Amino acid sequence: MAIFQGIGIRYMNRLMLVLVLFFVSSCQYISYNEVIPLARQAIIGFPDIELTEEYIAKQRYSFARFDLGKGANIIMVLSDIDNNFYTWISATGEKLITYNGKIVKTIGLIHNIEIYNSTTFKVFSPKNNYSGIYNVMLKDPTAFIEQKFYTQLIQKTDSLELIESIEIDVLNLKYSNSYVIDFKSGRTIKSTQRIHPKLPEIKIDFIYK
Amino acid sequence: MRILQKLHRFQLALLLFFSMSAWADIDSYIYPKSNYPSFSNSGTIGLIQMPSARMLPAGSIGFSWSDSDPYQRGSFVGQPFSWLEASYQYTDVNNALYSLVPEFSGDQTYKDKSFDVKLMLLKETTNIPAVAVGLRDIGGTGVFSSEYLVASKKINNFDLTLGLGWGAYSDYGMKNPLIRVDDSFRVRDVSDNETQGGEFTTGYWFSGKVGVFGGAEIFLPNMKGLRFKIEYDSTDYELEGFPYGEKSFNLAFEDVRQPDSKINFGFIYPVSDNLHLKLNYIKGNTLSFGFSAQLNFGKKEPFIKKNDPPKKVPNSDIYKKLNTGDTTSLYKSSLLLMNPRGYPLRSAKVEGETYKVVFSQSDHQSWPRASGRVLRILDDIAPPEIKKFELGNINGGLGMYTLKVSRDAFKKFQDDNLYKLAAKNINVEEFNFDLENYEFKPKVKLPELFWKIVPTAKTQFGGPDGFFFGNLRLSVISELALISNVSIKSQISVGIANNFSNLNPNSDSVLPHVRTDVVQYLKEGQGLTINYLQIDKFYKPFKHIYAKTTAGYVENMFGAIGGEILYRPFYKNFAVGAELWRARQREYKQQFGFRDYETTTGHINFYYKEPRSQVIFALKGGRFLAKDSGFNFDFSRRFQSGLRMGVFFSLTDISEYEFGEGSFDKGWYFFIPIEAFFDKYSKGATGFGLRPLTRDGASFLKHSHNLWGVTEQASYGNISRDWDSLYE
Repeated sequence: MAIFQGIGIRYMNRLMLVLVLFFVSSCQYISYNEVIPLARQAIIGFPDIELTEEYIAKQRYSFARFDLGKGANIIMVLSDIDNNFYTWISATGEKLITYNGKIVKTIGLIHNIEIYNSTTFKVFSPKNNYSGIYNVMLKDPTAFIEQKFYTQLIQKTDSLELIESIEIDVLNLKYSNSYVIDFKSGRTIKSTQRIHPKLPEIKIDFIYK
Repeated sequence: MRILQKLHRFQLALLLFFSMSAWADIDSYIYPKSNYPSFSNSGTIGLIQMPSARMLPAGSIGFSWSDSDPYQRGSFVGQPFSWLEASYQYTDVNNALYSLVPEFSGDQTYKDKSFDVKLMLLKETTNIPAVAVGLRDIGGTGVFSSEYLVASKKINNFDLTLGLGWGAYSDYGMKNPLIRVDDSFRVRDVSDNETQGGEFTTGYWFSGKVGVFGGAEIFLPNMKGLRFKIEYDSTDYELEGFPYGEKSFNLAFEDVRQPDSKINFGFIYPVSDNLHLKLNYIKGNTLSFGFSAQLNFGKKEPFIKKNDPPKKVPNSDIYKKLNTGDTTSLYKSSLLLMNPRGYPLRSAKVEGETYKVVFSQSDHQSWPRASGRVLRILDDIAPPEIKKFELGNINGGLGMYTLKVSRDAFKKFQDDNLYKLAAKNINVEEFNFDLENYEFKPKVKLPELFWKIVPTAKTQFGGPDGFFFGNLRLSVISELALISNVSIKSQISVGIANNFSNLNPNSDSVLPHVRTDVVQYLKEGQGLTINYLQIDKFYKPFKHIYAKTTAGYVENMFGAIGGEILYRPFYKNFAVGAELWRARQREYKQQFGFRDYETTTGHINFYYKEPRSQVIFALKGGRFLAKDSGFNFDFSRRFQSGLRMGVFFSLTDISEYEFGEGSFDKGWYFFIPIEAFFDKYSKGATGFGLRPLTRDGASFLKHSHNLWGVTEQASYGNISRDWDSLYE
């Protein structure tokens, strides 16, 4: 440590590296620690956490593997079940709350959501196909939107797949979420969802213990 | 049941309230990445070729580059205030030569440098548009000279602009309305402005015919932020640049393509809020493209949230017990815990219920944050009988400030981050440090050497031999502390690669070549060089008075012996100082030898910092290196993030002819805080500055560690400015 903390150009190279990374990043509050893995992933691809039998056996609690698209896979542990709302928590404190396997609330992500009428989502309804409207509060930045949805239940050999078609008129956005439901337990075991317009698609594997 | 119903109603009302209040922000999703306005081809915020009344947020800096035949233009924009946009353009004019002498400039094309400014006259409200007035090419050769008055109003996703332009913006012009004020506005006569260039000639501003321009920037919904621009272009392409080749200018060799249409259109694609790409079709016959980048340093943590919380002392209760009635143990545990956390303990003493600690630090721009973290450590380990802390801060062995803190008050407001209340209970005073007053004086092994090896570069832009010359180097930067207030610092570097082979010595200066021999310094300094090697000694002989003496190779062109003294009253926002140096020019290869030229240089320095706006005004008057005498004026502003941007100019007793091209010394600079790009705190900054031309007049001796900077924290204003970070 020098006696004086001088001002100079000696940090220029470091700065240039960061500037380049900063400019190619569209996420406003992405932290520097996150920038490096994302940049590296673009070049060499990110290693997957493989859900081998050995890996699953090692885990003491129910957990879910979330594949956040361009980011790393993260493992979140089931920390609470309340009225069929499952709270999943990551090692770094992010929380996802699911209802029948659908993400209905997030805390601590770069962009978060909360679906106010989340119990509208049913895996098994009297009618296989049903429609409705979700009232969704987008956060970071905050905006209230309505999502029209239409579900379609498809029977497969060893599971059921619920396709949830979403339309957001105000954003001219259409996409589909899918929920693979285990025949025996009736619980969602696999899902692909888009939860926020500014977040990539999330793939989830639920492992219940 | 009724209660439940009421509760549901309340929830519904609450939901509706939030829904309504949040509805406006849906635009962030429909029109993402629209936080910043976009740049025009002129290198300032605007439409395509035309300006608008839009500006970047205060504290922003931006860079833009565009290619619109025959011009390639790079531009730096600074936004020191919300109402002032200042920019510097560097234009490669591809239909003219740099000079008619191939031995001097080869086939390099003409380079034009200019300053633009835009002032906000009215801020946009629901009913009133934003109105701005702007001046283009005010400090250059005047080939793009124009003035404008412009209004912009956003209606839904349409940002509409309408303006009046003079000079190069005056095509199909109407009669100048300012003739009613004064008849001299009738004719725009630029012919009597034969100067050395670079002067702020005002005589023809807003004169001659007036053109009308207008257009729109349309934010396209749900198209990832894509914007469409369309404008009516009032540029008089027969006035701008060198339109008719040699007929317009003896160095021009080709005509500028004249427009087939006055309507320009194009797209802006924001890759992110900070990076925009653009593609335009202008003049009905020319495709132009470019990009711009902008960063807003106005906020405290502008891009990346900090993840660098204070570290709690583990087992603090045990420390407290061990330190009860044992001051030696308290001193040692303070040393043990403060040093690795970046707050070296210099001395300590328990006096009654007060624990006095002296420390230094170089990790935080905010002195309250550094002090707050030291206070947390002391609170974690000090026994209950300690009721007060007295923190003294030193820099270079000199006392800077002291905080007298009630322990209870500091703790009381900590959990709720009530820093304003905490600050009311803290006495901030000037610190006069005397080691002998302290009981605990940890031994510092001296001499102590700090060093690092870093890559560095020597560069030159825009000379006659080529646009860019650079020398990549490896530098050893070191500081050897001999005693607490004496150090030897050095930078020794060796060149790795350069493209200096085409550089030619080219100084035409009639003054002593104190700076214009830069090419010789670059060419002969390609190998091993001593960038600086100097010994500094610092003193604080009296209250409010700081001094330093320095000797050695203080910069790459001069060695010097001399000193500086500064009177900086702790509770005032000003400082007055003086410096005097005997300087001798160094040999070009920058090793131990000298050239014949030597001189005495010195200045009386005055600094004033306006506490609310954090604008710093520095006035330095005296004798410069080339033996010219005069004044240097420097205005800069510091933002919450630590960014400082400033402009300077000098007026000395040499004529415009003696000064040469550019007429007088002027330029601008930024100091960008490194910590803005990281999630950890740090105190470093990277500097970037530019003079349009390297000249000899008004040149200072560059001696580092000037006392205004060294004593930054010896000012109540600089402590109180950052109270909000006390508990960070």
